[in-house]
Amino acid sequence: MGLLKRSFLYLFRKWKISILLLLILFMVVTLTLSGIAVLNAEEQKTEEFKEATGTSFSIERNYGSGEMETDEKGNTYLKSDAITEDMIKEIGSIEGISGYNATVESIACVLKDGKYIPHSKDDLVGWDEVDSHTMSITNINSKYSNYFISNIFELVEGEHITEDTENSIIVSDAYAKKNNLKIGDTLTVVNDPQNDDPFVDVKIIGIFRVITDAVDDSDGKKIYDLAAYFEYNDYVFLSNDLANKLYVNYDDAGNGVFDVVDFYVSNPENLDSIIQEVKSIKDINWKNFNIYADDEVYQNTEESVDNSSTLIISLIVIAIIVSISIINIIVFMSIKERRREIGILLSIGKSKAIIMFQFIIEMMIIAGIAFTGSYFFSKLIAGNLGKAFGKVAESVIIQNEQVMMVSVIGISILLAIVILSCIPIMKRKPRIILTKM
Amino acid sequence: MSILEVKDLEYAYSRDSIVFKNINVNLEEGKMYAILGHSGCGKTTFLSLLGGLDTPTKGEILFNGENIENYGLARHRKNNVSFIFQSYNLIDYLTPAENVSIASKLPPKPILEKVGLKDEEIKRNVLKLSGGQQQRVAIARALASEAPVLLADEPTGNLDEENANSIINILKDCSHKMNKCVVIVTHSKDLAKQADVIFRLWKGKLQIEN
Ligand SMILES: Nc1ncnc2c1ncn2[C@@H]1O[C@H](COP(=O)(O)OP(=O)(O)OP(=O)(O)O)[C@@H](O)[C@H]1O
Ligand SMILES: [Mg+2]
Repeated sequence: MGLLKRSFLYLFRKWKISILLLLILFMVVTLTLSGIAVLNAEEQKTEEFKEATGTSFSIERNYGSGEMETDEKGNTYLKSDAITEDMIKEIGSIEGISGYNATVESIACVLKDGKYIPHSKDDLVGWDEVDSHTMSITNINSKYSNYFISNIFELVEGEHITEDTENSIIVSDAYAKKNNLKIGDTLTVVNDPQNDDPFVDVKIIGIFRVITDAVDDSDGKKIYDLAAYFEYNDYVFLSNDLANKLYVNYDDAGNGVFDVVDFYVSNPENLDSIIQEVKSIKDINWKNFNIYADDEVYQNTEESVDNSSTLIISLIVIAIIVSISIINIIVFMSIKERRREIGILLSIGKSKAIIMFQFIIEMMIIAGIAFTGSYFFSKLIAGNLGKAFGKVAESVIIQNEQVMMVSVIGISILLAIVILSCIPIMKRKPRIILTKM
Repeated sequence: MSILEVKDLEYAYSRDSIVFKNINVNLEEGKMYAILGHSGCGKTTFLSLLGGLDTPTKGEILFNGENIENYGLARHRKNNVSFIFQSYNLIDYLTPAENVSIASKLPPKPILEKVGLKDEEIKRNVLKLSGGQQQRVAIARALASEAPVLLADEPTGNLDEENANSIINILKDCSHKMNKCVVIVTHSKDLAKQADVIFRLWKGKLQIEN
């Protein structure tokens, strides 16, 4: 009688032990595979979230230091250092910073073919230049503008403004539709035509869409709120060079200086260390600037992600430990009970290795069935299990590499259990094994 | 010619507890041997050494002139000898027929019938057989083996007189008709008398008894 036949006869005739082992393995592997799938979905969601929100820190001009000064035209401005483009470039080149943006928010009138054009909702009747004011924001990198980062706007056509972009404008789809605008069209912008401000030609390089009406909380902190007067659809984004070209009559806006710059960090975990690095730059007088981290949103999600991941990992670990212990006891007891069989097989000339191999084959048959069953069953239930942890069912996927990993580790553990359970008997001489029966 | 040669055999559990020593004996094919001796004198130990289930402290055992340790003990057990133990001879998840088949390719049924098992008993779970019936399955397994040496440790201990006699006759046929070398350990002098040669293990020595 062959080894394989003996293995099958054992599994069938001692079906209670076989079924018990099968069920335990099936449960723990299913739980592990589904749990890992949920963890993956969790991680993926966090990654996406991190990418979407980004984590940033801001450098702000310290309005509390330095004195105010009034120039001959009667404009009042702060004497202390402002944030310069060189300073932004220096900080922006630190490793781990994915991007930055600085803005100057103002208002600008927009003309097409020499005529002032209306807002997205306004009528053309009785139109004049004052009604043609838009909320204009100059950007170094419009991709990192709060409006795009916070998913208030979404670029639907064309491209974003970058450091190298010049004389460019991004408008909303509603604004474009109202005024028959398309990418590549030329417009003219002017800050205040009644103040002898220059007219500058700009080219439309992108069109955005308003995707949420979410109100930006930070607006509340501003001295006055331009944004309150404008519909989102009447916002325009201008390339950074235009600040110098448009606001020539105003000393502190333009001229390549900024009040606030936002820096985006690719890995939120590095935020603190990067801020420390920025603070250690010697040629910046930190008395004149405030630096603060803006990772509240990240911290909150990180915490909730950590909580549910910890729960899932604990469940998996407990299930694995408990089931390994139970399987270990069952296997150890059943092999101990097979002492007589081991003795008899030894007496008819089977080697110890062959006898152990039979036990291993039996375990592998059970494991094979249990793991295959678990694989298909977890595919069925992982989605629903994910729902219990607030995941979208479709995002919870059993990945083949992970099935492989769980199988390899699981089978190694089972092998170890069988071999270790055999050792107390196998290390003895056949006569001792037989006489102790 | 002798198939098993025992030379200067000694076995000790420790320095102070020597079970036997200086045993020299030659065993031949076609003969039945009986070993008598009081309980604990070392009969099972001696049989285990002959069958390669253990290794002697001193001396050697030759099978057809070759040291069995050199030949390989597992190989020796597989090809040269078959065992019948004092008790618990069977694998519990196998039927009597399957228990006979683990060591032999011969059809098990005729052999099981020869030792007196009925058709229905052959297919029964071995744990549901009586002690005597189980012992007869074990004997059938040894008979099914083609090994030239049969070692039996009190094979009739669990059997009534009638069954014991029939088993002894079968073992006798085994040696005389099938030309095997049969070694039986027994307490019963009557059974021992059936053997061609009777040994007595006494105070660590193996002596021929007349
Ligand atoms: N593991 C052991 N350690 C120490 N002494 C042992 C061990 N196993 C057996 N013995 C002793 O070795 C001696 C021989 O044992 P053995 O089983 O060969 O006797 P036996 O002649 O077969 O007895 P019985 O007729 O009762 O079966 C006994 O005195 C026994 O107590
Ligand atoms: Mg004994």
